[in-house]
Amino acid sequence: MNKLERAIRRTVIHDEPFMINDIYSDNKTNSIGEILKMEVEKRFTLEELERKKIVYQRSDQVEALHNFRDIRTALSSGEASNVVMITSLSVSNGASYFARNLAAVTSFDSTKTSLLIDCNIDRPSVSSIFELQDRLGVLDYIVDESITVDDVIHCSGIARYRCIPAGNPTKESEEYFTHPRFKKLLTDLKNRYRDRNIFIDAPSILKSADTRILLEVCDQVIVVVPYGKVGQAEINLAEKMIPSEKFKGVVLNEYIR
Amino acid sequence: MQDTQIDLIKSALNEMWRNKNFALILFLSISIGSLVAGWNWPRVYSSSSTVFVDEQNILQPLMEGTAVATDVKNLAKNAKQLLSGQKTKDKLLEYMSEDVSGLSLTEKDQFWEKTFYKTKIMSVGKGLVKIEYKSDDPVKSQRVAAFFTDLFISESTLNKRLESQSAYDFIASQASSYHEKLRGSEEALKNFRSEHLGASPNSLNTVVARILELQRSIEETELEISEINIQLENIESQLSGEAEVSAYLTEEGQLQNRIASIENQLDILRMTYLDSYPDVIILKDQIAALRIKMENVRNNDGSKIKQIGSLNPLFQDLRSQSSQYETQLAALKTRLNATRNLLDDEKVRARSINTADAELAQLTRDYEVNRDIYQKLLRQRENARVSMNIDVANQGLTLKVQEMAVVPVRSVGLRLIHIAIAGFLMAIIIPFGIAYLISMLDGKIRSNSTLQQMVSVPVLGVVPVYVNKVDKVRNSSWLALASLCLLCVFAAYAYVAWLRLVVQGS
Repeated sequence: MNKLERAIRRTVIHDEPFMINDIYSDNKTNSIGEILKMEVEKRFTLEELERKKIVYQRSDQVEALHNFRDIRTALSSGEASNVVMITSLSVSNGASYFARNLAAVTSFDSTKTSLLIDCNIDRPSVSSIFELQDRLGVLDYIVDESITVDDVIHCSGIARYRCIPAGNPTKESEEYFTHPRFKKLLTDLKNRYRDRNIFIDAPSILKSADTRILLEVCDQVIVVVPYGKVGQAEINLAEKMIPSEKFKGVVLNEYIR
Repeated sequence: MQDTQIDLIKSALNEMWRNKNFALILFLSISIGSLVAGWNWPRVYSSSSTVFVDEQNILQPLMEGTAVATDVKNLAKNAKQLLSGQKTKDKLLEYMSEDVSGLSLTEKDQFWEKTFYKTKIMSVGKGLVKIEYKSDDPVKSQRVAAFFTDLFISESTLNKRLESQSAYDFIASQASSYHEKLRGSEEALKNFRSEHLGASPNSLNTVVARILELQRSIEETELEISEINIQLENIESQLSGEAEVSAYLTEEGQLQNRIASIENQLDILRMTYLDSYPDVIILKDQIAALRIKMENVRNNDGSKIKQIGSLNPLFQDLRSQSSQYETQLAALKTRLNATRNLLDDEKVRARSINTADAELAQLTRDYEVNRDIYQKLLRQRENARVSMNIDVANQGLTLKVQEMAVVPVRSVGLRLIHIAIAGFLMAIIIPFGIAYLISMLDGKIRSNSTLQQMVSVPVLGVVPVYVNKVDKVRNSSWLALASLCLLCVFAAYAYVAWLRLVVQGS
């Protein structure tokens, strides 16, 4: 991607005026070919974001905004640690909600972009929230070698926020994350988008073997503790499973559907 | 601690909100359920009467210390005891005949037991007995309470009267038996007195005084006797030294006296005259002649005495004294013996008096004891008679119905209003309580602080609830629904209250 491509893309993606500066500050990594593949991106209105429960700047969800920002600040940043896995201690506890909002607050910063990967294969949420049904995702990439990384990265509808949906499960659904293609996907993403903060929405660490595989590829782990659903035993189990150098911390999630 | 409590309450409220539908259903079911339960709760009607049992009756002050008012203590217990007999049972079955008609004997028995044990008899303050009966039928409550009240009054009066009568009878029989005893001891005393005439409490003193007097008299007599003996001895000794006849002595003495007087004259003359003086010579001659004569007297002692001798007057005198003393001595000795005999008699008498005195004391004591008891019993008998008369005249025990048993209008115990209010409160408290208990006991993480204590890694923060417009609308509509439910509950309560108060009037 050259400077022009990137500029065009940015203007398409971002409608905020400060984005003009972006064109000049970040002009090395994009290629012209990529922009051609880009569809004209839709953009969610604030009302839609509110309905989807995604925080945005100047949102009236002041407490949520503040807390997400605090959590974001607590994470280390840098090229060597830009893959953050968000897992939880039980099923259906709002870890996905936390992951997409964490990615959203990260993208508030004009110097940062975020990428949310939905690895919650059993309960995918990204495609429905960001209205990316029938789009290619992680599973498609793994099983179909003809699909490139770019094919699975989609616009989320929010500036500087991309996402990869879970994709469409095939009949050969087995250990996807042990597949070399998955490793390749992550490596590609890490290498190609060093300035990107990659957030993996993983299933419960106690319930899913997939998450344990994902532990190896991620740099940081945040465990979402659902309100009123788990006790000391689950916490201890999680602490045992997650390598301490990757385990950044826990968050108490009061938001339970 | 404070914080944990607040945390717990917050968690409980949170938990309630999370399960708001369940909480609402719980609230509705409890509040409506209690209303239904209250509506169907069996109503209990209580009827009671209060009987004033006056122990301090009008006569008591008048009869102070004379009539003993029979005791009515532990009123309720006595009343229960009084009413527990077969008599009451029979009367009750007769009184409630329409209730027990067609029942078997066992059933009648059960009916009686049930009725009796459901009847509460209790003391409510000084002298007040409350008789209470509870049942689901107000009329029956009143009837049973009134029945037991009437029976209590009549039985108490009768009982008191019988009690007084029996007390009187007992005392009277005791009095008559003591009367007999008293008469016996009076008789015994009389007999004794007639047997021992001199026996009197002072007779012993008299005897003792007499003995002392006699002893003194004996001593005096003995003293006199010894005195007289001494005098007699003296006289005897004098008598032995004295001649019965004093003639010899008299002649020689006369001669000597003459010689002496002549010698005296001679001495006087010699002082003036020489021996040759005639007078002196004459005197010398005379002396010589007298001496010869005296010599002759001496030589012819015996014959001369007989011829010349006369009786000695001193001897005579002593002799008469001695005989006088001897007479006196004999008299004294006789008196001494008589006195001694008297003394012995008195001693014997004194001994017999002691024995009689002991017997008399015994008899007197018996008599006095019997007399005292008899007098006391007589007094008590009169008291008992008065008490009995008081009871017969129904003046002893005043039983007054202070409060008549009436047909109760309102039920007692748990009423609809109590159950309904309690139910409403429970409907609020129980859901919260459950939530509180769950948050307290299930050990799940509900607060940041709890989480912090449990993990070794940092707690990055709390993901708050995101309430968007849709949620807000949903919440508001839920709150509206809840309010509607609350309103419905209130309406139901009001309707039930109206039904109960206005339509049923109770």
